[in-house]
Amino acid sequence: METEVALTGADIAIMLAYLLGVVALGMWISRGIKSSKDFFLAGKSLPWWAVGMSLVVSDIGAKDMVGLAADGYRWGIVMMNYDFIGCAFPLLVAAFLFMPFLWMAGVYTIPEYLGRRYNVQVRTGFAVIWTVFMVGTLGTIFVSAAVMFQCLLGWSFWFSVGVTAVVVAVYTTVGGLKAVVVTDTVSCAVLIVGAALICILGLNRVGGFGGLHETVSSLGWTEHHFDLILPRDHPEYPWPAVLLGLGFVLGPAYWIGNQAIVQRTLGTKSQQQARASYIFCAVIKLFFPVLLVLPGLIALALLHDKLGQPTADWDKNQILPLLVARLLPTGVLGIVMGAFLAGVLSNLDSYVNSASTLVVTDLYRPLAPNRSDQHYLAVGRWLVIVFLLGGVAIAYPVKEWFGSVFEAFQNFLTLFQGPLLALLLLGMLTRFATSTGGLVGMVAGLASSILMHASGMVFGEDYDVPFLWVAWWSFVVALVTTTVVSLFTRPYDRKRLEGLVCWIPVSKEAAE
Amino acid sequence: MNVLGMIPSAVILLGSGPWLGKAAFAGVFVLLLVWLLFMPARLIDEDRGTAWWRSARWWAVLICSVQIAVYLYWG
Repeated sequence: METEVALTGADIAIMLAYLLGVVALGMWISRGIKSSKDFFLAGKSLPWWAVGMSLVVSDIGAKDMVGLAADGYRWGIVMMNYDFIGCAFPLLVAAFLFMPFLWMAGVYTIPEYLGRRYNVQVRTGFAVIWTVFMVGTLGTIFVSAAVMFQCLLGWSFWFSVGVTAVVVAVYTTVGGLKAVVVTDTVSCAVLIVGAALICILGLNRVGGFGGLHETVSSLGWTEHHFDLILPRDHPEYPWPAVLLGLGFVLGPAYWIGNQAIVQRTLGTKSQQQARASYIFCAVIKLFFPVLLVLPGLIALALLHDKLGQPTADWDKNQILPLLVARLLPTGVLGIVMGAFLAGVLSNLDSYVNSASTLVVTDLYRPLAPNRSDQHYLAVGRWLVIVFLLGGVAIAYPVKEWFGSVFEAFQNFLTLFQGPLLALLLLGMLTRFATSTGGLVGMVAGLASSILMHASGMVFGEDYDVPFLWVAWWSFVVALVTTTVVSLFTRPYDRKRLEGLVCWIPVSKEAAE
Repeated sequence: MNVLGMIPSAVILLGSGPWLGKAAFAGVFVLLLVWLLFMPARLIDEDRGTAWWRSARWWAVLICSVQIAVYLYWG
């Protein structure tokens, strides 16, 4: 891809001001970090509004800006379901049912909860899977950053990856979760402004919503581009799969079971603030689908002569960079590039901080117990560097193997989100789920999702299973297996489950 | 669509029609709305006198209502 726009001095000044501002803010925040609890949970001092904004940009980053614009070009507004049924619904359920409960449980991580509810094998299993997933996710974030920088600034792939890694390392290593959340609130505001500018200028260019609808609808292959719900025989997004796979499995698993998401909520001051942060996130998320998918449709209206109809070997990741280059005047470009940087940094810092927390809490601390708090703090800081290096190392293979970074992220998620959600739901909502049931359910659910993912490669394209169906069926397999095995094994007594099941509060004696 | 997609589709789509997808998506939010409206106040630590703009329930109901409208219009 060629660089189509040269940044002016004003553009570069805006970008640099944002970068330096974020680093300075993160360093300033790091002054109060004295213990591992400060580093991993911000000393449970975070306000709901900051966590709410941080949740938004931890979920929506550069990969979503690039990926959703590309998929919006290809499939249309059906992609908004990721933020509607895939976010609003699980966010509200989690806000009133699960988040206050997890906050009360006093855990640092989701695997830690699973370990207390089931057993150490389940805890370790999911901790290892999450760790691998997070390295992969870091790779996808680096790729989306590099694609944008390559296209617009002419930076090489490795230079782009290196710069983003160093900036995040500086403030995340010293500032922990508090620095992550505070810088995220700034990033959220910048991201909204930048995405809104693309939409406003784009709509202005295509003649408003009416002009956009008219141009896109006239293309011949776009009959469903303005439908939120697609036919049940649609090859990629049939509505039953969207409802069951995304709405009932991937969305809830992400908002209830994703360590990078849940961790900041556990750092709030109270149960009520944990709930408020999720609801604030849901309010902001009402607008984000439009801000992220609309650029894809605008690109379709403006660039279809150049890009044409998507084919199998189509380079999807170029859509947003090309649109930005075509659409934005100099000066505004700096703000949008700042927004893109905001997405990259907030996504990276969230995942790298959570990965560090997870490894220290669920893998390192059980292996090396009874060390000083300062020791765990130091290990946590070193792990931030290790994870960033891991993400850098995997960035190039991710770029080569996957057509779309968003698709890559979803593929990683569907491998284990179904079984994770099944175990969380049964663990939090029922008394009968047993230790053995949880272990067998986890193994069966993971095996089923791997088999479904591999079926297309082994038996040919006719046996390819859409990833939303993989999520749904692996959830069903884990749910049924855990239930059946639990019914034939000895359940825990009520006392053992106090504070671990929603309906069984901690007794007064235990609380005292 | 392969067999893994056909089974739940067939179950859901008894009496198939174009309105069913729209009804299913909006219906999820309608059920959530009912749950939110009838949830006892003590479960969410809110007094009856809580101002609307500080009420988690009020904001949740608003989000649900917007989602229902979105799916009914663009579904």
